[in-house]
Amino acid sequence: MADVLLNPKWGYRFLLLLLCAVILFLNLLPINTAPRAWGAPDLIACLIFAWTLRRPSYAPTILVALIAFSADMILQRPPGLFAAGFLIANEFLRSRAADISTGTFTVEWAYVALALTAAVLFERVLLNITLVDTNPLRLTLTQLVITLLAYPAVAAFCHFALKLRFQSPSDVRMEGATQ
Amino acid sequence: MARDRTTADDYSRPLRRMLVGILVVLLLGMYLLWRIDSPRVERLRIAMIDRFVPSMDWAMAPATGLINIARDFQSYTRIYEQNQDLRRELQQMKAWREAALQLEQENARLLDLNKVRIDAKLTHVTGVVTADSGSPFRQSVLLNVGARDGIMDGWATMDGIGLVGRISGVGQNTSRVILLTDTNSRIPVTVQPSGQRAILVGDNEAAPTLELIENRDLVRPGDRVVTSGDGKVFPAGLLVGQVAQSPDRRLRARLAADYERLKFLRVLRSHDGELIKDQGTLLAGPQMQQSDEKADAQTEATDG
Repeated sequence: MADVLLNPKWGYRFLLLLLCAVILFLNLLPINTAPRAWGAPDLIACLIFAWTLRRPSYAPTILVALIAFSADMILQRPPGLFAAGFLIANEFLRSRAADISTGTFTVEWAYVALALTAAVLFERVLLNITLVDTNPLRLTLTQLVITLLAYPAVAAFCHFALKLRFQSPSDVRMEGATQ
Repeated sequence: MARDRTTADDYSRPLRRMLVGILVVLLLGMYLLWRIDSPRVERLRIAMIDRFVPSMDWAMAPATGLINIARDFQSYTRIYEQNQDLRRELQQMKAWREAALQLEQENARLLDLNKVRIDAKLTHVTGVVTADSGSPFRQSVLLNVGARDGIMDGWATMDGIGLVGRISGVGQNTSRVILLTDTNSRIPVTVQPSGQRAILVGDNEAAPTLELIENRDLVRPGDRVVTSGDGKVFPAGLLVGQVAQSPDRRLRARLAADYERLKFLRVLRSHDGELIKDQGTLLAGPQMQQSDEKADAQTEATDG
């Protein structure tokens, strides 16, 4: 039991869940109830992407699906739709994580932009196919841009504050030995 | 791919693919279920929020309070301007106060003459806003009163002055108010003094648009907008706001309620409300076919 608690893998998984809960909580605070002209950044998406790229095993697929689905439910979005697109995007990034870890940050940013844009597009296309009213395009686009602008800050936060760094080959070997 | 494949990787990859596939199918299945049977899934959603949000109440109130204090502190820098504005407004208000007092006396006299009794059904339950929708695409707030306090779907919600929205989704301890600014909000209204009927359509802007006006020429900026009571959506005569014209020449309603700071809301215990149990009745309900001209006053749907 103590082994599980001390394992950084479980610690970081729990931390991810906790941070997402805090972000949801902050979103729900009734600070401004008048409509805004721009969309706030989707910090949960940034955080999960940064997590998956740095340490894929710290963001297990089931946890990502759970967080994304809860966010859909609580933030009044069509349940499961954005979560599905987001999960696919996240798995795409996971499969590229090894390549991205050797590149520069710009490469990582470009991959994240690609994945998130695809997820938003996926949601919009499916909403249109199933004849559900879509959100105003202007809001969706501003939210997408602001989220992408916020990504470097979130990545820096993960890197410096949370000590969540890219895997070096020695880490991989060590992790393989403990498994 | 520049990646050395270990045996563990070869072994886990198909399993992972399968897991992702199953999860995506489950999530999309949930979405389809919501699309087909929206009210049922929405009830599930409100039950989930009902479980989740009140348990965070202890942290939410102080956090909101702190942020508001910080904001108020910022506004001290503009205190001189505000003071001037307030003085000017006070002058205007004094004139209105005189008018209101006279009208109140006159009203009391007339009511006494008529032996009128104010409708006892129009009582209200007051709730505190505990959370907003959390997303820029949805305009709604969560109240800390729910089925426990007798709240029902469809009831009108006001702040001290004007209409704020409509109850849509009631949990045991919480209920959700869809604000007039939400894109799903459609409210039948009357513009006074011309008596023109219109539908107030929310579009994620601060001032909702007035649509389907019979004769636009009779409606001027500054006219009062009140609910019309058509289609039994709301009781008639609740103050909504004033007509304003936006630069693109569309008529909008500047809302009387203070949307910047929604804190205490009163839910009018008005009537049984139009209950939406399944989607079929949304399209062609029995009462809709029976009633004649009122049929166009469409109730807002709970689905997004």
